[in-house]
Amino acid sequence: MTDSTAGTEARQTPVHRPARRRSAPPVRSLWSRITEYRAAYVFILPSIILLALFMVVPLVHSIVMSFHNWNGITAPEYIGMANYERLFSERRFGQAIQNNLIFLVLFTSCTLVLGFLSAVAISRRMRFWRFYRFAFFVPYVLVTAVIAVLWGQIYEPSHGILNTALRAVGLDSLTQLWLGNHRITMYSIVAIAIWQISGFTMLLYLAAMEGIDQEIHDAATIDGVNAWQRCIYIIAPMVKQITFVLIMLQIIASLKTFDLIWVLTKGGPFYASEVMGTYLYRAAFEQQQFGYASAVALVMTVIVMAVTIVYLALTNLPNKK
Amino acid sequence: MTRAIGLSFAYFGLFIWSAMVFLPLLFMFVSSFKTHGEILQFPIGLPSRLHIENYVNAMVNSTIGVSFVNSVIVTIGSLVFVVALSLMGGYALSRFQFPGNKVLLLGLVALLTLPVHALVVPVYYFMDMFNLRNDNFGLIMLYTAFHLPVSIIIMRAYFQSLPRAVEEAAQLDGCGTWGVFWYVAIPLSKASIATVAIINVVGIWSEYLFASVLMTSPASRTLPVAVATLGTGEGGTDLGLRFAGLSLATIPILILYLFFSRRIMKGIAAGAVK
Repeated sequence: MTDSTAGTEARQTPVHRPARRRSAPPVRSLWSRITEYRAAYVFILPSIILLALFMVVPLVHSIVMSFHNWNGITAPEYIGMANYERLFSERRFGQAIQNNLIFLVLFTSCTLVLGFLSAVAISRRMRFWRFYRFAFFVPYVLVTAVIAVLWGQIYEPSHGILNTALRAVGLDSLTQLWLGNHRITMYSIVAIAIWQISGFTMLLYLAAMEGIDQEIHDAATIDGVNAWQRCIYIIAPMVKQITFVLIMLQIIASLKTFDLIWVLTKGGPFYASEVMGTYLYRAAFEQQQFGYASAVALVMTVIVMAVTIVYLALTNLPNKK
Repeated sequence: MTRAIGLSFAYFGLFIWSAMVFLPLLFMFVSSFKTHGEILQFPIGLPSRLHIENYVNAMVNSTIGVSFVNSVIVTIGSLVFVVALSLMGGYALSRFQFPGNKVLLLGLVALLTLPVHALVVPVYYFMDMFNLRNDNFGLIMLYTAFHLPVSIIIMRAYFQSLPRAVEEAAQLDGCGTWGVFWYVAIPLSKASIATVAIINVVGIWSEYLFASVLMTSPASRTLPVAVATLGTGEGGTDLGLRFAGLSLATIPILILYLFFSRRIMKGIAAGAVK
């Protein structure tokens, strides 16, 4: 679009148009109103095209293909609900959901508690608070794949530093196959996720706590509350809103988790750390079952969307002025 | 007395957490100067001498250098498109009550709830069909689309909060729609442009899933895909090389964070709740 055409267009169209659509009678046809706002459509059109091409069309395609037997090469064959029936009877998918739930509970609770406590320490200006604020957020900005490879080396059983350090201080009995033991691999992975994301929860808590009126703290100090009471009875209730927001964000992140686990264990050993994300990836790109993978993807989408809608209702995002 | 004990517990906790953040990174940087044998023999401890050759190897003999360039191109390209399109889209949605405005906004919110991970199968299929695999431009368009919904909504919210008086004045002075947008609205949006860029940059720079299925040829891999396989495949395992690659992927972000940490934290805090 050139400047001159936009200019002529705009002279007929004031930027500021009072919203009188309800009170004013519809004198003009829809088409004339559409042409009148041509500039606005030109502004929004590229976004609409991209979103349609890369999100809406794939989503629709995914829905259609979830009812087909399809390997991505030969023609898809309609099989009705068979993919979904298989999905809900497959034990490994149940296990994946179970792992997602373990991840969800531990990840959400630990990141919230750690984030809350460190934010209290920083907002109460404990010594070196600037350093803590800087340091705790560092893992969040690192590339997840890098974190996964790095922690893979830390957990490595023979020369990884975790086991080496344990042996060095004589705690040989505590050394583990951190990722190789199917009983603990999920917990080892969640620990990394907590390590990575706690700085983020700290940051949001901190933003909320900085908003608390200093007078409230002063009054509490005069009343002689101790630090613990201050956390539970004063700070926690005042950051309730952000707690809800964070719970929702962490639940969504837990349901979507993929990179960390895929790079570390590929869902192993023997599917012990399989989650919905890795299950979907395996079905699609290792077993070439695109139709079945689409069904998995849709189940995942429905679960995540349901949680997200609750989240959006809580934060009232679209109506924020 | 109890207060002193409580306080020292708190400081102890803060100290432990700081150590837990930095020790893995320290381990990574120290190991990146060791040889493969040194890492196996003395996992903890300093290298015999600084083995810079790990870095040379990573940059020259592996594809990390190429991947680094790819990642920079893809990240900057996506950010430019996301910022430009979300400025335009957010402005249109905020300033014009055109037919379809509300529907579009609702559509954006709906897309916001969509977990893009679930689109990996059809996206792979279509990108393959249109020869956009192993193509930086394809990946840029994909990332732009994925980050548009939240960015447009943030931009719209920003313009909603911005008084229209300046724009109206410019209009009275004979500025057209494009002129008002270009000379008035954009210069006033520097803060929200920074917010949109900041909240998206980490996600784009780190994106692994789509990059790993779309960018499969060694010359087109992005950094997350390349580091995930570095030092394991061709020519056997080389841990020194591996750690050098990890460090190379980490250093630029750490430098950026070092200089802009306040701004980055502000942007992310603002973007997550607004």
